[in-house]
Amino acid sequence: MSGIRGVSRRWCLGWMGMLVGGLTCAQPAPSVFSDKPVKIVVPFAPGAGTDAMGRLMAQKLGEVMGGSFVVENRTGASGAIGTQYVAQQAADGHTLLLVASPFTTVAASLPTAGYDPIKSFTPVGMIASGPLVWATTPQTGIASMQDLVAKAKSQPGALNYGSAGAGGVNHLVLELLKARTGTFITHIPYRGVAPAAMDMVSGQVQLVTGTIPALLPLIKDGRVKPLAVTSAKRSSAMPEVPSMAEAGFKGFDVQNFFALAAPAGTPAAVIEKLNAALNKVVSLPEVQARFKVDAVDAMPGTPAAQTRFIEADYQAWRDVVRTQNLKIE
Amino acid sequence: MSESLQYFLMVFTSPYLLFLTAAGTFAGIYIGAIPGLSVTMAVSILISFTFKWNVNDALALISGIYLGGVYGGSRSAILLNIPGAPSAIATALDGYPLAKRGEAGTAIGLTTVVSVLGGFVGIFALAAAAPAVSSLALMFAPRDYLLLAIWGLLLVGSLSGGSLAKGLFAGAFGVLIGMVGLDPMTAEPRFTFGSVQMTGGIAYVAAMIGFFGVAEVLSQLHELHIKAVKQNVSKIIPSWALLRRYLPLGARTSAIGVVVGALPGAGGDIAALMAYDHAKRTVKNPSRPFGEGAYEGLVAPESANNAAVGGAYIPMMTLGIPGDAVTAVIIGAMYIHGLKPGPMLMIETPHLFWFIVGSLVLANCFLLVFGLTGIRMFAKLVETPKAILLPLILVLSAVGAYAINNSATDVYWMLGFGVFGYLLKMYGYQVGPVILGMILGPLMDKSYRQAMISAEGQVGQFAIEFFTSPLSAIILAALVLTMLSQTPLWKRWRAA
Repeated sequence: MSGIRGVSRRWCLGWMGMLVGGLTCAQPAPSVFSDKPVKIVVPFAPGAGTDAMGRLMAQKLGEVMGGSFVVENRTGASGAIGTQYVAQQAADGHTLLLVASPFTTVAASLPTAGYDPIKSFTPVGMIASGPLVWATTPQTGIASMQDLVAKAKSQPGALNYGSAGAGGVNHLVLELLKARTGTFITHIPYRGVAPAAMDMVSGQVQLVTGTIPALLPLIKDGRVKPLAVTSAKRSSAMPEVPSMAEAGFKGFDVQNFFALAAPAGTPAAVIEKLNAALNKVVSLPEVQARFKVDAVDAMPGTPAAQTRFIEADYQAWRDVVRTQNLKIE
Repeated sequence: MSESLQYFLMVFTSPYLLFLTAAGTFAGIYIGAIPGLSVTMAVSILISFTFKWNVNDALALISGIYLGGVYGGSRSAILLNIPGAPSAIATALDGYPLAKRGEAGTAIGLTTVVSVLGGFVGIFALAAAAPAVSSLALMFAPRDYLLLAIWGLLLVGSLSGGSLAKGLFAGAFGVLIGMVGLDPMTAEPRFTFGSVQMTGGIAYVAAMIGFFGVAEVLSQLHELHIKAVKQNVSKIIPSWALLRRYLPLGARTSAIGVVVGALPGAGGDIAALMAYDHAKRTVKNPSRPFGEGAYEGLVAPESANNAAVGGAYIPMMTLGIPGDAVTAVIIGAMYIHGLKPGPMLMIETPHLFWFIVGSLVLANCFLLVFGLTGIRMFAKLVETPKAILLPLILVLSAVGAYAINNSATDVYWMLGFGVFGYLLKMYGYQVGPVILGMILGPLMDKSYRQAMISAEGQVGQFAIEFFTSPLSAIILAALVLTMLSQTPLWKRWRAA
């Protein structure tokens, strides 16, 4: 029995030591506005691309502003839960949202999303953006976007498209193409681009869109053929692949983007300070190097420029949801 | 070849890499043991610190955390009946009864050895048969995932305890919970009652902690007067005779782990459940009945979930497609370090492939060392007076549930499911089928509908595809055989 007591005591001491040590380490560093750290809420799970971007921004904003920026993951409902959480926080600049494409696509397709991308937030600034890439396999015999549309028109429903999930940008970009061309391509949602790409390689689906880094290994290997990037301009990460404008789709411009936003009503002075720091961060050489890896381009600019971008994106997706009758009542 | 060997051995010869791998494995074991703290979470947080590191250092550390974390989940499953991770759910089914019998030490010792065995099988598959396994994984179509999910659900029969009807109810209830949230096909809210919190679905780790941890605490309140069983810690390292008995089973279930781990739509949790099911169906004379502390019930899931680690690396290394969430993060890290995981990796940078294999082998060796040390101290944890242990489990459960999404909602779910699980236990229902339904229900739902869309909604076409695809036909035949083997007719035929 005494042995057990001994073990328990050692255990207790050990745990107490760890707790005290942990609490000491956890003392918040001073913030840029007050003594509180700034929280960047990432509405997706650790490990997702958005999470990596959030952590990079937290690290670099901390370095540039000299305060403490911490990432908090609040996941669920395609990002709606974390987004709604930020919208309800105090508008003092201590809680920020890492905004990515689902910010607008979910709000457009899910009436119960619980936030308005325009009214619920004050923009801080854009971080970066980059296109997706339309990809198929050589076995389909499709060599260009025009071929794709011709095949979809001649054999409605014969082509299967694998998306990363219903209501996401990968899904809506297909719906936009269908709306623009009056074609029918069967949509099969997957959980993420990885299983969809795997099923494309094995021939279950004939078409996917994904970020350039997600599909590049398969493209380089020749198992997957890129048809076009989803933006109006070519991507520097894949300069040989045509843009949508070059492929014959003028005005078609879909980008995966990242930005920062604060709850609505955040004081202009606070936003100004954060925006200046963010613009500095996205211009840092090491951050630019990371953007190159992620095949996105830095988008330094004013909060007003972000508002214009978000408004246009949100409106475009609302139109797609309406015309394709995707709205879920 | 000599260059490959050189890179394979690099991690063994550099003191710094040795240290990093050891530190990663040690940390992984304890991160894995805490419910709610996942390996994915640990790896992604860590990766942000390794941007400026040498890529080899980062990969060595990650290999350790990954293997250690998958194994670590078994610790709390055996000692406290709270699986540290979903891949340790099956481990709790026989691990905790063993601890209650005073055999926690032997259980952890055996678990460690078979986890290392599974780890080696997975690494061997990665090193020797990566292209073959990845070709097999490529053959899996949605209908095959559907068959796998149905096969897994058959485990309800095994987990039902005395009453199949009660097991079916519990399994169906689990499937129902798994359906809550956004419809994966149409993004339409299901069973959410207009609540945004519900649109995210119910975190099955919160339910798992509730059903296993909280329900156990409540049940134990009936037994406060019964003193904790004294743990026998004289034999920790399993004897060769004991090992030899379980090796064939461990090898079979490791193979299941490799294949299931290589599928992007499935992971260590499903591999472990399928392995448990395999053990239950194929082992004629288990050391004790399954669910009451059968060693076979530990060997199967624990070898499978660690083998799944090597499996998950396979599509990443050969196709650039992650096998699970952790390998998805590793791919991101490799890109940041200027590497290109995928088909060209083994051609352009073969040394890196062999370095990863080497670091996994080393991490697996450290797993054996760290897994087998300190067991006596851990086993004694079960002997802690209940007045101290039970509140401690509740606190740990609450922290774990909160850590999943940084959300108090998950703590409420955990408490709710804890009370519900307690009531189920009181009325003779098992909680295992509920968790099984929660994990496999959504996989079945999604796979069935993907397969149906692929077949253009034609039932005939959908049915024919099960017979025209060789892989589907084989899985279907195995599934039918498994079902038939449980019928009285088959048993009479076998006896005759």
